[in-house]
Amino acid sequence: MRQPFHLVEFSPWPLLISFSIFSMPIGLINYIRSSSISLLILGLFTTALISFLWWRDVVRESTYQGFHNKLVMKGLKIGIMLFILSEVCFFFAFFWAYFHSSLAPSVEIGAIWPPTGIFTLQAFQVPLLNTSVLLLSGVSITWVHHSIEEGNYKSAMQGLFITILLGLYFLMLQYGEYSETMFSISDGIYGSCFFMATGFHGTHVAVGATFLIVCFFRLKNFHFNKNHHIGFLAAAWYWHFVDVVWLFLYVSIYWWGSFQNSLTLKHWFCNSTMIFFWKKNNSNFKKSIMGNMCMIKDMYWELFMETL
Amino acid sequence: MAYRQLFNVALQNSRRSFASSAGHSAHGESSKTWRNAFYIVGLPVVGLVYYNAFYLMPQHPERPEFVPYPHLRIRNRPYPWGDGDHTLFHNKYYNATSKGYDEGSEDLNPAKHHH
Repeated sequence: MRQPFHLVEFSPWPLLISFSIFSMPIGLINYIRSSSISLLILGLFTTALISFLWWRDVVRESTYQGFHNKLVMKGLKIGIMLFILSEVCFFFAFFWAYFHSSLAPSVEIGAIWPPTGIFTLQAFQVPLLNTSVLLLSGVSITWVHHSIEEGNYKSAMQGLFITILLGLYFLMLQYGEYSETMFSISDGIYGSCFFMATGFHGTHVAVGATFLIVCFFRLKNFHFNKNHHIGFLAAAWYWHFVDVVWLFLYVSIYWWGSFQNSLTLKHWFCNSTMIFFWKKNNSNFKKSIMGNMCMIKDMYWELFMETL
Repeated sequence: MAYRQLFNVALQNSRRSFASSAGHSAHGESSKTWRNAFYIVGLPVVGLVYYNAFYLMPQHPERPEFVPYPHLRIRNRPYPWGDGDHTLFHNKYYNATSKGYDEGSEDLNPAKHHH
């Protein structure tokens, strides 16, 4: 490696994984539209396989061939930062859709948020537990990081094991939540936004947990040392990123998005406008407004009971 | 050259945090601080939040009455699985299909199976 460039080995994986990633959305659309699942399964399988082989190659370059000199380490860090930046943009889009639809709720959904007929999850029940579990895993992964830098092998192994368990516990809790929601992904804009954002977050947690499991076995096999543990650093950055995304999801979707009883002048204005349009006498429209009015009555009742 | 300066700043920051933690490691204490924060502060707090979530907060509310709102239960085309009307995470008690709740699902409230 006596040249000033970040060049390690010729690799077939970037090109091949482009094909397999492209076949995933095509396969998904094909599955939804013509019930043929084979291309989707092929895409998922080849993507997983190529990710495995690519990571294996990077581990070999780093641990067994010693190609990861200072310059390559610098390049890898920049690469990870840019990758996480692209992930920020990815989630930014879902938050944009969510706030676009929730800050000025349209007439079709009852001009309120959450929409008429949507009963949200309780933010201070399991979602709060999820928040605390992820924050705790952020503490434990920092404990691992410090242990690695101090060369404390045993402490690092313990901390990493606990972090992985917390990640898996989060996924378990989310599965429990998903199977008890009173709405589904096809329940209009609320269901779409909720399941798109939290579902992608959940898959990111699954990927982050996989990354941590890989790090666990690399740590076990002494792949990391005090000043060279880029693989772990990447997993930790990714894990913190996933954690931060959850905080935004929790505050905006679970918590703020469930303020059913925080009625403001805005809501009354929207409803009085709707009663004006009600005179059009569209039966579906009438039904949704009736539901809306009933809900507002119920909300005021709840608010009244809470103040007692 | 602006991009290069930007990257250098970012890398210097990461290097600085690297160096400062390496400095701590001379004393060999910083991982213990974080481990103690985990066990002494973090775990009890999560335990309390767990207790709140499963023992203090109300569990398994009654399901709302089915109203065929036009903006809910949208089925532009059937789902590619099952009968095409049940979602992937279908809960027999809480989730209605486009036609309403499944028949005989009134008694499936998970709250009833706890005792």
